[in-house]
Amino acid sequence: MIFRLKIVIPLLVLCAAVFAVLYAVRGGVAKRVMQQSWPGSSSRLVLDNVHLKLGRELGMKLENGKVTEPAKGDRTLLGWKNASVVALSTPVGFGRLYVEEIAVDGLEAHSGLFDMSAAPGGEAGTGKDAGASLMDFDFKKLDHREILSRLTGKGELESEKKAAVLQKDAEESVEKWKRTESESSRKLNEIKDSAKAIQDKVTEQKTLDEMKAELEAIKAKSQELSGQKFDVKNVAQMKASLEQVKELKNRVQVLSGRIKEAKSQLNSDLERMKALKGDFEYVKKLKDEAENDFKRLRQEGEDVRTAAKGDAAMLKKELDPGDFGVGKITRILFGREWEEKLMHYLSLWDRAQGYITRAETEEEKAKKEMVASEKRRAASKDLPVEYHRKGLPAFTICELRLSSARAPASAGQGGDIVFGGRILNMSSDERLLGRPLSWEMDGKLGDGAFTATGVYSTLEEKKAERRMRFTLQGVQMAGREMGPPDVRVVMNKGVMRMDMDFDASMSPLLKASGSMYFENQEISLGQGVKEELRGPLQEAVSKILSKPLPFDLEYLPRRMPRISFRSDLDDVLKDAFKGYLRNRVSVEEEKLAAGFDKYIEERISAQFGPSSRVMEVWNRYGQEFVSNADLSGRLLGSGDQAIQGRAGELNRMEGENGVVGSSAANLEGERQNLEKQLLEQARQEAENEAKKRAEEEARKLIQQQTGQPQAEPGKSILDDKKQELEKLKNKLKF
Amino acid sequence: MLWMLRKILLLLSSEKSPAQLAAGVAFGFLMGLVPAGNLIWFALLALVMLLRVNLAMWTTAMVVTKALAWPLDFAIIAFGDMVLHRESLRSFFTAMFNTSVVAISGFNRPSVMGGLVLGAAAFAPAHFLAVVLIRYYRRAIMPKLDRFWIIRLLKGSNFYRFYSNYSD
Repeated sequence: MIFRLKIVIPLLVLCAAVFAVLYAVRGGVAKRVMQQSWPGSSSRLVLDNVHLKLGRELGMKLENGKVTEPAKGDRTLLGWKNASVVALSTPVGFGRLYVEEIAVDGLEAHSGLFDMSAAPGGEAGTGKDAGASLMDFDFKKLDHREILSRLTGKGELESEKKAAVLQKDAEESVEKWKRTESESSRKLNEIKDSAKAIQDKVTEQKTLDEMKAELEAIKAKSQELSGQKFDVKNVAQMKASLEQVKELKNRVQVLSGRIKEAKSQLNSDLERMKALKGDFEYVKKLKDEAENDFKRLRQEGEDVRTAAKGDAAMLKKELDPGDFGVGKITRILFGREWEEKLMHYLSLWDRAQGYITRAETEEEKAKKEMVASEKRRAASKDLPVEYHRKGLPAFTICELRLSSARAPASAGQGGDIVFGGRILNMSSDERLLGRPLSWEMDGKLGDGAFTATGVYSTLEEKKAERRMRFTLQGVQMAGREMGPPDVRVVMNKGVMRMDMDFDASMSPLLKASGSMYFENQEISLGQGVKEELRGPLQEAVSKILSKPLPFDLEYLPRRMPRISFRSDLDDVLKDAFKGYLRNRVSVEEEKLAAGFDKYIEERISAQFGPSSRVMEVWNRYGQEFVSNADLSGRLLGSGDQAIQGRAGELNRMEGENGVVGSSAANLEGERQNLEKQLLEQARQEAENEAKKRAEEEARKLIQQQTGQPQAEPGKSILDDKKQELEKLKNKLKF
Repeated sequence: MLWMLRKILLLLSSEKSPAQLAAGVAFGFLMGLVPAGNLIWFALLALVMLLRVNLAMWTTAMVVTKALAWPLDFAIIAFGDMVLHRESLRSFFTAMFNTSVVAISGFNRPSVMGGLVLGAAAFAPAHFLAVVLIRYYRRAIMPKLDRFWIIRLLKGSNFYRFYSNYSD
């Protein structure tokens, strides 16, 4: 007995103590374990309290929990005030999970795409209107870049990268073209003016005519002088002719000088023209460079289009609705990290399924037991006997409650419930459970309130139990526009109410029928309506809107919804409703369905289309260049020709002048020779005469002196006379 | 072993209540038949610890029973299997099977059920028989043993005296 007490009592006390301690700190331990074992490094789980319940029911309640992203300033990704789950403990022993209740109160979720906690009064900093709805998923944020980033991890489309390069190049080119354009324009104007001036100067005729006239005169004079004949005795005439020849020569020289000067001027004009041509070539080179830039830009544009098509194909493949599983949808909405977490948990669940035996039919059970029993009997082994388990699906949630809260602007603000609902009987085997999935929700949607109740049975024989009723009321219609552009109806005031009944018994086709009601409505017509029609049309539309407007809707995945209104306002409201849907949800879906190439083509065209700045500048530059360069080119060409022509004329004149000059020189030479001859003759005659006279006088003198003629002494007298004769000769020489 | 034998002999010749000793025998017999390591066995263990059951007798009886029952395992399993498959008990067992604690007790193993049923059935007779035998031993056999020359020789030896002092 003492031995028993020594062993048993301490053991019992120890067990009790351990149990008491664990029981006391169960919440804290659970909280610590959950927080520390939270997977993923980029997010963190924070909990205020964890309460565990052990007994007939196993329960856990998490108070004030949130999942935050420390990398983004501790932004709350998911938060709740209270989240509790209660499961029956009995089925756990059989590997079954029978959750009686899951309740989440004060749920808030913030994703890159939507914030599920907006208060009716709007939320500061989110840009949402007052009356922003809890259910206001802003799919406009779901642009292709966001989708692409979340699906593939790439930040940018290939076409966008190329488009960015194209844009940069285009901007640089545009700036360059602007500079080139002004420089080219200036140079071309200079070329034009200079070429015109040169041409005018070169083609000036007066001076040339004068020179031509002078040349003709010189030629005539030369002819005249060439034809002159001279008598030996007519030295004076010859001298006069010589003087004329000399004068002719002067005139030839003067003309030659003028021609040379004209040629020199022409050369300088030619040099100037060459310089202008050089400038023109430079301008053309600039233009060619600009044209090459433009061709390069066009090629880059083509590359962008090609890349866009490739991107479109890639996006289509990634976003193929047929390939949209829960993983892909999670990736788009929450990002890759959450998709990986989800897929990880799903894989764990799949593995756990191996340990959770499937609920079997009665026949299967009986057969299995019989086979097992036979085996045991045959083998005589100590195998456990399996009995019939009570019908329980592998997974069941009896009730899932959700409600949201206003995201507090600062600590301490309470959470008003703006959305609440519950989902009942979520089960992996509805047949075994015996009850279909159902839900009831209510909350605020925009500035109205909505309720949604429905039931959905997965059993084929209970297809009729796939329906939902949706009501929306209190939606303010003030300022809403409806109808096509030419018959625009504007709701000045009014409140809309809508009832819709959905039927999915022929899923995947979803059918709905409903009615819209407008209360206290007041409408006006848009500007496009003709004056004479306003009154009657306004009255007719008001009358129609005062009655319920029934409509039918059919929806198939991957298609735009088909809406038909069973009322006279059919087309007007159909367009309005479609437009509303388009703006809210389907714009991206429609683009996804219609094709990315068109969508991206539009984006490319918007940036680099025909009316873009690039084309505008290029066209202007090109046109300016063409008009100026053409004229400049023509002027340069004609200037060239004029210079060539003038040079030819001057060369010809120079040649002729040269001929005349040679002729004058010849004439001068002739005259001079003739003059020499004449003078020689005259001198000889004079010399002979003088000699004769000298001799005569000498004889006379000798005779006078001697009375005799002396030969030898006469020499001295003759010598004197010879000297006189020499002197006379010298005088006659010139 | 020697200590155990001496202990038993001392118990038999002691002033201990035969009921306690017999209870130890009966529980030992029962738990010797039930395989260890399941909830039922531990529940029986807890019962043994809480009741006035002689632990030495219980241990000895359990060991002896296990040793003797080992060759008869097949018979026990077969018996347990027969019990578990009995139609009249099926609904009872099904209900038990669908309660969490009992489901993990291992009752649906033939060896456990067979041992439990046989042990339970033999519990009372074993207890009764043990009481009778203990009383008979004390009344009829013990005095004769005390007079047996070997016993007297052993009891008179230094070894016995030393061993008695040491073990006590």
